[in-house]
Formats: sequence, structure tokens, C-alpha cells
Amino acid sequence: METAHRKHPNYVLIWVYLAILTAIEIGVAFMSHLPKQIIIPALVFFAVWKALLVALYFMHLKFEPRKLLILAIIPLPLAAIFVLAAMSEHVW
Amino acid sequence: MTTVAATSHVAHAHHDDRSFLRKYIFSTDHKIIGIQFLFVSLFFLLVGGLLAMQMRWQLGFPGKPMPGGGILPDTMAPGGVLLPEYYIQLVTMHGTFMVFFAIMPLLVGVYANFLIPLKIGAHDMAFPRINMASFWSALLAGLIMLAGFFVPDGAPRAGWTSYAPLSARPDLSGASYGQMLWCVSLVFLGLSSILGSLNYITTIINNRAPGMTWFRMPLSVWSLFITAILGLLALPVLSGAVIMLLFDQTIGTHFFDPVAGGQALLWQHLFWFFGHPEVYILILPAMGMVSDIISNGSRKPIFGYHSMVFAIVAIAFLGWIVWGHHMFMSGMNPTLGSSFMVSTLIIAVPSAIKTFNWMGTMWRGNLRFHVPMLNAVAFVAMFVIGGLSGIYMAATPVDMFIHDTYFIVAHLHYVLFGGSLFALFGAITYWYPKMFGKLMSEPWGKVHFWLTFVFYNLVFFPMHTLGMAGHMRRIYDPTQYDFLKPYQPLNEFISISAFALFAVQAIFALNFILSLKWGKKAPQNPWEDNGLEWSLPAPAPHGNWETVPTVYRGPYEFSSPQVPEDYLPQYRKLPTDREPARTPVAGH
Repeated sequence: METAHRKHPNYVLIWVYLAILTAIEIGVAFMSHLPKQIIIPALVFFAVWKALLVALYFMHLKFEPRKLLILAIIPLPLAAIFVLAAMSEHVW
Repeated sequence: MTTVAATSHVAHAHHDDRSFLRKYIFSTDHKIIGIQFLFVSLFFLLVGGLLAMQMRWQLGFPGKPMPGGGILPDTMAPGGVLLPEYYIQLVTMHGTFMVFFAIMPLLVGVYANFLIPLKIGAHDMAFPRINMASFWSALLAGLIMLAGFFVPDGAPRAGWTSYAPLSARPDLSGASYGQMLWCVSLVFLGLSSILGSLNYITTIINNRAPGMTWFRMPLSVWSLFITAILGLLALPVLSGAVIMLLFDQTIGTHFFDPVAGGQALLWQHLFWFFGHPEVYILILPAMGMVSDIISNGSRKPIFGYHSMVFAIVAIAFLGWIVWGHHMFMSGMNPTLGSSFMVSTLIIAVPSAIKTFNWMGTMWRGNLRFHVPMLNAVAFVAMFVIGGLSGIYMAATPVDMFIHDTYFIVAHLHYVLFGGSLFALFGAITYWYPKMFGKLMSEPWGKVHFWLTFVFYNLVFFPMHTLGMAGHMRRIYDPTQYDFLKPYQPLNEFISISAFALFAVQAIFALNFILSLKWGKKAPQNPWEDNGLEWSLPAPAPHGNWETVPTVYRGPYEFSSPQVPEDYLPQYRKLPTDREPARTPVAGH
């Protein structure tokens, strides 16, 4: 089995990576002197970065066949619909 | 009887030398885990029922001491009279237990576990240990939720939907630890559902027997498959939302507190983005099992098999884009309201396809009204009533009038009790022989069915009238409003009917328990059905098959002209049948 011999990614390192990103997020959230227009995109950027790390390494998607990657991407439009609906409350 | 004896590859128990603890407590056998889920969720069903009885006492006889209420502490019911703050705990916990710990595990935990491997021809789930973890997480979640009654301030008081900011701020609801336990419990329940869903999806995709193509799968398996996808996508949303709520309660975040810059509507959006797929998690498995039972009871192939499958998929997809119909009165963006109204009305189409197909299946069938069939037909009838009242509510102008009234309570109970629970009564009776090797009593099953059917309608149908009259949903004492006083006799009538409905469930409980010991020994295929599970002895042995059976046809070949009997099992090879091209997958 080809996959059985593949070296594991360093999960602890990924965890540390995530912890550092979380610390940065918390730091950004407390920078009250910055305008919201900067804080919100920054937090979204870090959140997507973290989600990608989890999906690629902890969910193994980086090492799986492309079909599985596509399968994981399919529900994303549902999430997009949700985010758009929730954001429209602010416009309203 | 030509069915089973002729199939040499089936019906051979693996030798089972596991200890009692490994076999029945910390089991990885999908059937035992299904049975564990069954006993635990029936217990929580009883808990939810007892809470409902107390609510009905208060609504029917407000301010009067409840018989037996003296055993409750003064913080709940001094002198047996229910306090308002205890009443709202009852409302919250009744909904929570029934939705999360009774109906959901009964339909998915029990029947996905028990039926999927048996019906697709697998030895077990793809990940048996994850399966065991799923059960123990669910039990832990239930116990944490139950603990809510025993902490200072008591159980949560924000309703089963836990709307913020009421749920986010203990100073508003009066419940602190109870509300936190509610959140922690649902995190564990979410974990259980995610683990279970992963397992069901993987098993169905990878572990089907040779010849079990996608369109030879029984509708019960199709619906459990789609339900598992819903669960896998929906439960993480709930878990995320309740963790945010927990943070609001404990570490000072303000996600849902508008006073501090949060957004209360965000909770409603998150909850219902999970909650509406959850509604289909609570009904799709019931629809699947009812399809199997109705085809069997009609001795006819299911009408429109493919359209049934596509209807399940359509309902599941549409279920993701309708959540806002729970929020028409929340003050949300009205543009969203219109789109949610349209998408909700569209769901009526696949739902109607299924309903007409069930009727088409029964039409001119050779009907056998055994207990599962009676319950399955009742499911269809009650689901139609619940579905029709749902169409009323989908229309925003109508919903504005009946929102948060007893009309909603009537609707959801027609779907969840009249729908899911009738399907469960049928399913429990139908697969009881394969679980325990005994038959439940048919006469007592019929007595239970008819009494339940009558009292159920006497309880929930008049609630439509109460709702139209403006009777609010989570109200403690209806008599404090002059406009509701004329309806108090109806409330009394509903309460008395509810007590009778609860009492007749003792017949089912006794039938279930006594049949374990004194029930008639079940033959291998008591319902003369076609599914693979009926090729096994009753009860089905550990590991199911020595060699998995080969599948030659779909599951609904009743009254086939190819054989003298009126059923033709999936595993029976006729001279004209060809061996399937696919060989058994690894592990078989």
C-alpha cells in the first residue's frame, strides 16, 4: 500500500502553528484603535488560513485523491449562502 | 418456504467468545450498539413524556396541586403547584430531550446502526470502535443534560431553541449552570452524531455486498445515507454555535448579546441553519423505513422507486436553504423572508411525490394490516396533516398570525409524533424479531396502535384551534388572559387526552419488555420480506454472515410472476440471474 509508507506530517507543529495564529487573532481583536474595516478582513483571513491548515493536514486532504478534495469542497456553497444571509442583516 | 434454506452462503453465526462486558456493554457490534441506543433513547423518550405530562397538568389545571407533585422540591413545585420558573424548565427540557435524545437517536442511532450493515450485506460498520465511541458520547451527553435539573438554579429556561440573548446571559434567564450544561451536552451529542454519520456514509459507500448497486439499496438505507450527510454537515454548525454561546456565558464574549455589540439574530441564523436540516434528520429515516414497511404490507413493489430516491435527495438539498422560515417574525431582512418563503413552498413538491408514491404503492395492493403496516399508514396520514399545516406557515403573511402559537405546537407534533413516532412504533415491531429473536404480541400491538392513534389526535388536533385563537406557545397560565379563558375547557380536554395517551404507552412498554422473555419465537423471515437481513437467523449473529450474500435484484420484488410466492428476496438466485460483476470488497 503506497499510502502506508508515507511519512506523517508533523501534527504537533501544525498544532503550534494554529495556536500562534489564534494568538495573533486574539491580539488583532484587542487592537481597538484599528478601524473595523481592517480588523474584520484580517480576522477572516486568519480564520481561513487556520481552516485550510486543519483541512489539509488534520483532515489529510493534502494527501488524499483529488476526488476526496472535491467532495470536501462541495458543501462550501451552503456555507457561503449562510454567510451571505447572516451578513445581509447588517445591510438591512 | 423457499427463501432462506436455499441460500447456502448465508445464515452462519461467527463463533462468539467475547465476555459479557465486551459483548453487551463495550460492544463494537453494530447490532448491540443499535440496541444500546434503543434502550437509552426509549428511556429519554419516557423522561420527555413525563416532562410533557407535568406541562399538560399546569395548562389544563393551572394553579392546582399536581397529583404526586408533592415529591418535587419547593424550588420547583411548592405544595405540588408548579412554579413558572419550573414550568419553563419543563418546556425547555421536554423539547431538548425529545428532539436530541429520543427521536434523533431512535431513528438514526438505532436504525442506522442496526439496519445499514444488515441491509447492504456487511459484517459490521466500517469503523466499529468509532461506532462505540458514538454511543458513549451520546449517553454522556444525555446524562449531562439530565444533570441540569440537579444544579443550582435548575435546568435551562430558554426553550429548546435557546434563543439569545436570553440563553447567553444568566441574569436574564435565571439559569446559569443548567444552561452551560445544555451547551456542553450538545457538544458531546454533536460529536456522537458526527462520528456516527462518518461511519454510516463510509459503510454504505464501501461495504456493500456484491450486486448491491446504488439503485438496489432499500429506501431505508438511502434515507439513512442522506440523513448521515445532513448530520455530518449540520451538527458541526450546532457545535460551533453552542460553543460560542458557552463562551458568552462563561468567558465574557458577546457574540449574541446586542447590548455589548453582538448580534442576537446570529444565534437564530446559526441554530436554524442546523435546525432545519435537523428537521429532516428527524423525518427522512422514518420515511425510508415506512417505505420498506408499506411495500411489504402492500405486497407490491414500491411505486416510483427512483423518484423516491430523488425526492429524498431534493428534500435534503432544499432543507439547507429554508432555515429562515423559522425567523419570519424575528425582524430579519425582509428580502430574505421572501426567498425563504419560496424555497420552503418548493419542498412541498418532493414531499408530495413521496406521499403519492406511498398511496400508489398501496393502491390495489394485497394489503396486510399487521402492526408495522398500521403504524406506517398512520405515519403517512399524520405526515400529510403536519405537512399541510407546514404549508400554511411557509407563507409569511399567515405565519405572522400563527407564529409562536399552539398552531406551531400542533404542526411540529403532527410531524414528530404523528410522523416519526408512529414510524418508530412500526419499525420497532418490524425489526424486533431480528434484534431479539422474538415477536411482539400482534393483538396488543393493535390495541396500542388504535388507542395511541385516537388519543394522539385528540391531544394534538385541537391545538390547531387553540393556535388560531392566539394561544401562545410557552405560556404558563392561559387563564390570566381574558381572550383565552373561553378556551380553557379545550385545554382541560387536551390535558386529559394527553394523560390517556401517556398511559396507553404502557401497553407498548409491556409488550416490548414481556416479549423479550415470553414472546413467540420469531421465524427467520416473519414478514416474508426481501431484504438481506431476513436471510439471517433471528436474532442475527455476531458478524452477521460467514460469507456475505450476493444480491440479484432490488428490495421490493413482491408479487413477482417469476416465483410462486408473493415475495422474491434480494439474495435468492433464479436460473435467469447472472452473477454480478463486482467482487466483494476488502474485509468481506
